[in-house]
Amino acid sequence: MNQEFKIAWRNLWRNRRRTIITSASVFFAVFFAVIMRSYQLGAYDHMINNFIESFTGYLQVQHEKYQDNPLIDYSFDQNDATVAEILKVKNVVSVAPHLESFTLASSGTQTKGVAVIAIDPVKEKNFSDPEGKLVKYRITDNAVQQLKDGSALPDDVLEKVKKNLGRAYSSPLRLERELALSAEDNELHMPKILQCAEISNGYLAGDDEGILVSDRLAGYLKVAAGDSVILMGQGYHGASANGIFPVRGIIKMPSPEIDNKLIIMTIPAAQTFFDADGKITSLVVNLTDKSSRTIRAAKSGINALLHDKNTTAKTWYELNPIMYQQIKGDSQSGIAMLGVLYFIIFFGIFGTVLMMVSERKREFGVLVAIGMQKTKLKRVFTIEMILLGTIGLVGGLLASVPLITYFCYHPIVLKGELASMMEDWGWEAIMPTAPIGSYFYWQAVVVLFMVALATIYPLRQIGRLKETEALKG
Amino acid sequence: MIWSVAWKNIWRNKKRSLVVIFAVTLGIIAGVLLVGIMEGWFRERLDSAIYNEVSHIQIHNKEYVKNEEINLTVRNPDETAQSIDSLPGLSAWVKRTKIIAMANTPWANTGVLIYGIDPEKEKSITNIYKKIVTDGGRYLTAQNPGDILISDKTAEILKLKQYLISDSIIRELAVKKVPATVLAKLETLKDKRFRSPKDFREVLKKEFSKKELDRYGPLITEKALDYRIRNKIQISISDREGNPIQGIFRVCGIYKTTNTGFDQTAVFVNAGELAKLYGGDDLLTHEIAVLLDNMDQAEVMKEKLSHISGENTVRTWKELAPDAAMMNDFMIIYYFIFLGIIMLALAFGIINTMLMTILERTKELGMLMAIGMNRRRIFGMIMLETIFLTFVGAAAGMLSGWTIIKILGRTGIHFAGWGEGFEAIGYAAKVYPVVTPEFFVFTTIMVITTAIISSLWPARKALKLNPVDALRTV
Repeated sequence: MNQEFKIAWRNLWRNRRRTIITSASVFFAVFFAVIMRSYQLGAYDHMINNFIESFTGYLQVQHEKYQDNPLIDYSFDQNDATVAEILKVKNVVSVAPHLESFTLASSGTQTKGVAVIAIDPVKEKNFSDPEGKLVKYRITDNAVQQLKDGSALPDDVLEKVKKNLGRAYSSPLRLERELALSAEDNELHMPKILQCAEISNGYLAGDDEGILVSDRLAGYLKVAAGDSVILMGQGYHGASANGIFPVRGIIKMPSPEIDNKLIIMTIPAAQTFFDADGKITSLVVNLTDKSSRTIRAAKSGINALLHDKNTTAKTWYELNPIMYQQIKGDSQSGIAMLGVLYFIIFFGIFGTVLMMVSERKREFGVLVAIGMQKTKLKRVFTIEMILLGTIGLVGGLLASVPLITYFCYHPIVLKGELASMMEDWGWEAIMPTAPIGSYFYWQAVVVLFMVALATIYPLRQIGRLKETEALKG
Repeated sequence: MIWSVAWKNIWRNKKRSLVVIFAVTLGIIAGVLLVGIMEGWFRERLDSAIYNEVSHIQIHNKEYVKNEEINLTVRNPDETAQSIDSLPGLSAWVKRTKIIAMANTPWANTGVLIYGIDPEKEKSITNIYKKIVTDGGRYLTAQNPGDILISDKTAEILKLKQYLISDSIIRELAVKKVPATVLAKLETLKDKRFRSPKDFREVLKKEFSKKELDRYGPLITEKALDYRIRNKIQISISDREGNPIQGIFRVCGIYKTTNTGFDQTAVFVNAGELAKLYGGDDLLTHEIAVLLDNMDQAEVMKEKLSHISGENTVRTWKELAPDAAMMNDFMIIYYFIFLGIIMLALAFGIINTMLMTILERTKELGMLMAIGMNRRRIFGMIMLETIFLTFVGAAAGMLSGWTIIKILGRTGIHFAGWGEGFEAIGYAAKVYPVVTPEFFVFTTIMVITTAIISSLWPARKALKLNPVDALRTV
């Protein structure tokens, strides 16, 4: 074996240029495939992390029929003992109860259909974090007027402030970024702008009667913190639900669609309002990681704990099949692209093999004629082929490792419109790579498979070799 | 002369040349196919965005854009309308009432956006009238003012979609060569109503084996689907003073575009009937949609319209459907990168083969030089050989790719597994691939460029040969 390996290795370097080019093609394919897959998988991870972790949760305990008929009738009893047990299930990080429904909201002459989400104000901080989304600054006419009268703000700065008239911000950083003042102006005038634009806004306490209203909805209803909103709807089992609720604060939701229609209240207040004593519609569960194995294990773990047989735990991809399909569709198109690439590279390898066979026909003839067994010759050739593929493969993998690792920990930070859109969504505007994982090994499998496929032809040629004819050629 | 020599040289080692040609052919086919699918998708999205959703240009009240309130109508609609009529380059335009509402049926409710339209005029702007599903009733008419046109998605949400197996459906299925065993099982489900696709699927799953379900499930589901046309829908809106009011409309038809997002909210009624609901004598105009003769004129026309319409906001399709606009701008770059990667992969094979031919023909090349063939011609010959080799493959690839696209363009490709996900972001689940002649020109240029670049190394190698040494090699 050792000897065969040596022969194969030397054979490979008899035509150095050809070996290098063929390996380079494999190298290129592997390198490109790994980098592309890594970015693709990284993007999905990022999306899932951001979206699922703060909107759907990895798992939700719901009434079986709730997903198809999101009615408050399909709610279930809130049971603190069960929640405590779920928290003990392996990999579970947090559990947050929700009571969700639709009602009409009205203030003055304005009325609109809204989504009501009742939460536990403390537990929710680990999940969708409404407190972090409270509007802290707003550029109102009043604020602009104050800035104009009360301070020596240069005209160009004032113009920039005016451009953002009516916009709301949850953090000073965001306001700073949107104004895009020069560093000098920023330091000089920002405190003043912040002071004038600041608005008071409160969060909900334990069993608060108050509500939080999303920014655009508040604009439509023309309410601010301190005003009240009338809610009218249908409660549990058809009871009519009417009430007047003080607005504690305004929150800015990133998605305009949600921002148009969201009202948040506490669970006790909602239970009284909907006449659904002790009921919730879902328990949102977040896990330590999102591998499908962890999710499945947690799901069955939680299902075993549920006493109410009508309730069941659903995974994020059951709850959000459309997003799951989009990710899958995108992933498959990426794989199709790599398939094309590998296909072409395969032909490159095959071409090399053809040349190797045809130019060495005579040599094979000599070897067999002087007594080398054909099986041994085949083995040498196979080793040669494996080496040819492996050089490119190992090279490609090794070259991609530092890049992937680096960009996994220091991801590319996006800038511009896309970035602020992502941040509006509460996402970090970065493009991370996925850490080394199974996709890495798949490249090896594909390359070795290609090599094996390309080796069939020469092996058959050797098998059919007639020494006398080969020696003449 | 050099051309025919180069051509003949390619065919001296047929097997080797064919491997390269075949690789190029397959690479190009794959390229054409994938680009065709992407282009088909994109075209459909663009078509849908413009001809179902946003038209080329829309005019709104400045405030309406931020908050869709009933009182925020287009300012000076009559004067604006008159001026629009006098503009050249417009193919058609309409005025619409557009109000946010709640739609209720006894089984469910949902928020919708009501378009109050003139059904006949609307046909000149949008293709919604062509999007009525099979067995889905008909488009709005002026004769039946109380009608409402809703989407398949809205029908599903409002539970106006049911599944029902009747005798006539079983007979129809029998005609379609569904085996008797399957039909017998269907008999047991006869005349039962299923209110959601999921319930029906569950029942089918219980009754049939997986094989039967894969084979006949879609056909049975398609046949059993029954829209409850003529059902009433209650619409609640706020009138101009903010009082809640309700009206009843009858479903006359079901439409379906490729964008579920649009379908989910848009419902259409006669503008006059909607006006009766909110009161007042005038039809409210919230939106003016304009279709141009030439799409590229959108920006120019926007300028003109902004001038005419004064206080109102004028937006082009690029602002109204930014996703489609972004695709429009980036598609060509995407194709370039995509083909570039394929070409790069091919280049390795081409270079390898050409280097091989130089090595094999060292003696011959030395001879040619010795008898006086100058270096420029050698260089040219090698380059031509590379171009021929690549281009034969590329031509075959483009021809077969084009043929495949033509066939698929007629039949369409259905992405069953991911359809819903695509339609949710506005892309059709069924794609009709297309490629433009420009794309072939573009591909040809890229192929020739690749060939020239890959020929440089082998040709240079040939030039470096020393005739005396070269002649001595075996």
